[in-house]
Amino acid sequence: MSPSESDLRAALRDGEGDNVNVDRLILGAEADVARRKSRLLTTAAVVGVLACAGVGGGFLASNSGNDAKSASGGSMARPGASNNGYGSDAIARPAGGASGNAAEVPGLAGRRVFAASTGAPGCPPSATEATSDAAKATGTAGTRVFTARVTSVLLCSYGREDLTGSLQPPQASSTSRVLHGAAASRLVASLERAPTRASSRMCPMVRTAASAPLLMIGLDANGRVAGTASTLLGTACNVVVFSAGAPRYDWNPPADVGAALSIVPPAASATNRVHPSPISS
Amino acid sequence: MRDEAGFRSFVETNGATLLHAARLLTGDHHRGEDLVQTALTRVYLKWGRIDAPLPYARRALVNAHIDQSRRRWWGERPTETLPEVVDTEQDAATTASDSRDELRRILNGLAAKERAVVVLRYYCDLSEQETAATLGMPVGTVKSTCSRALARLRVAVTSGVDQ
Repeated sequence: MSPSESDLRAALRDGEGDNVNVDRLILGAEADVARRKSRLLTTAAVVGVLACAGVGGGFLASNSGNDAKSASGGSMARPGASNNGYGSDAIARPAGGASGNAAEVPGLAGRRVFAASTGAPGCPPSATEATSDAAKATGTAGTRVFTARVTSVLLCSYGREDLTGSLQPPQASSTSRVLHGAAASRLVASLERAPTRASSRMCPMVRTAASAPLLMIGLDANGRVAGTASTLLGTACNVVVFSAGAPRYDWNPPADVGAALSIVPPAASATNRVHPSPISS
Repeated sequence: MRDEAGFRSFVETNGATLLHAARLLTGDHHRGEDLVQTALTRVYLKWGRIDAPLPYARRALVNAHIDQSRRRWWGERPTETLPEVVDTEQDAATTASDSRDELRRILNGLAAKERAVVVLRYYCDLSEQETAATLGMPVGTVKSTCSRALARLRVAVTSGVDQ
C-alpha cells in the first residue's frame, strides 16, 4: 500500500519535541557580532598606525637633530600607559627621562597623533582613532610581516571584550610593553613563519573566549617603524595576524613572550576552547 | 536596540518546529541543530527589521540548507532510482514506527530542493503559494516538484513492501 499524505505527515512529525536553547543562541549571535566588530576595528587600527607611522617617521627624521637624546643611550624605555579607556583620545606619553615635549604630528582625517620624543612612536590612541578604508590593511604587497630588520617590538593592548561584547578598557599599567633583543627576535620569527594560508580546520561558529585586540609595532635599530601587525587574541581558534604583508594564520606566540603578552588579561589569552552547542539536546 | 524579549518569545513558540524541520532537511540530528542555529542567528541579527519572522526564518533555514548541500556535493547524492527497501523478515503487520522510519530514510534520498518542498508542504503545512514564496520558485515548479517527490516516495515504499 502506497503511503498517503497523512502517512507522510505523520512520518515527518515523528520525533519532534526538542526546542532551541534561546539563551545560548543569543549569546552566540552577540559573540559573532562582537568578533566581527573587533576584527574590523583591529584592521582599521592597522591602517591608522601604518599611515601615521609613515607621516610621523618622516616628521621625526627631519627633526631628529633637535630631539633630546634618550637617557638610556638608545634603548627604548617603556612608553607608559597609552590608553585610559577604550575609545578615548589618550595617547602615549613620553618615556621617563627623555627631555623635550612629545611631537605632535598630523594624523589622518584631522585626528592628531602624538609620538614619544625618544624617536619611537607610542601606541596609537585607540582603535577608534583609525580611519576608513580598512581593506588596505589586509595586505597583499609581499609576504613579510615586517619590511626591515626589527630589533624591538612595541606591544599595544586595547582592552578586552567578553562574550557579551562588553568592552573592558585596559588597566593603565598594562597597556603597552616593549620587547628587546632575543625576545623580540623570537616574536618576529614566529610571525614571519606563521602560515600565509588558512588551514582547512573548521572553527566553531561561536566565539568561545573573551578576545583582546593587540598591536605589535616592529622597530628597527634607529627606532623607526619597520611594520605593524595586529591580531585578536583569545579567539576560539585560528588566530589571524594582519599586517602590510600577507595575513598570517594559526599564529601561536612563542612561550617566552607569554609573560610580555600578559598585558592582555589572562582570561583573554585562552584559545581553542570549544563552547557547548547552543541547542539543548 | 534589539527587542530581545520579542525574539525569545518567537523562539519559544516556533523553535521546536524549526529545529525539527532543520533535522528533516538535513537528515541528521546534529547538522539539523547547526542549521537552525545558523537560521535563527540571521533572524536575531535582523530582528526589528523583519515584518514576518516565521516565514523569514523558514526561508533562512531552507536557503542555508541548500547552500550547505551545494558545498557538500561530495557527500549525499540523491539518486534517480531510490534504493529498494527490502525487509526479508517482514512482519505481516508492519508497525507504524517502522513505516515512518522508512519514509524518513527515503526522504533523505531526495535532492535538497525536493526535500525542502516536501518538508514545507507536509511538515510545515504551507500552501503551494507559501512554499513557492519561501523557496523563491514559481508555484508550478512547487507543484511538479511535490508530485515528483511524492511519486518517488510511493514507488520506493511500494517496491519495498512488494518484496
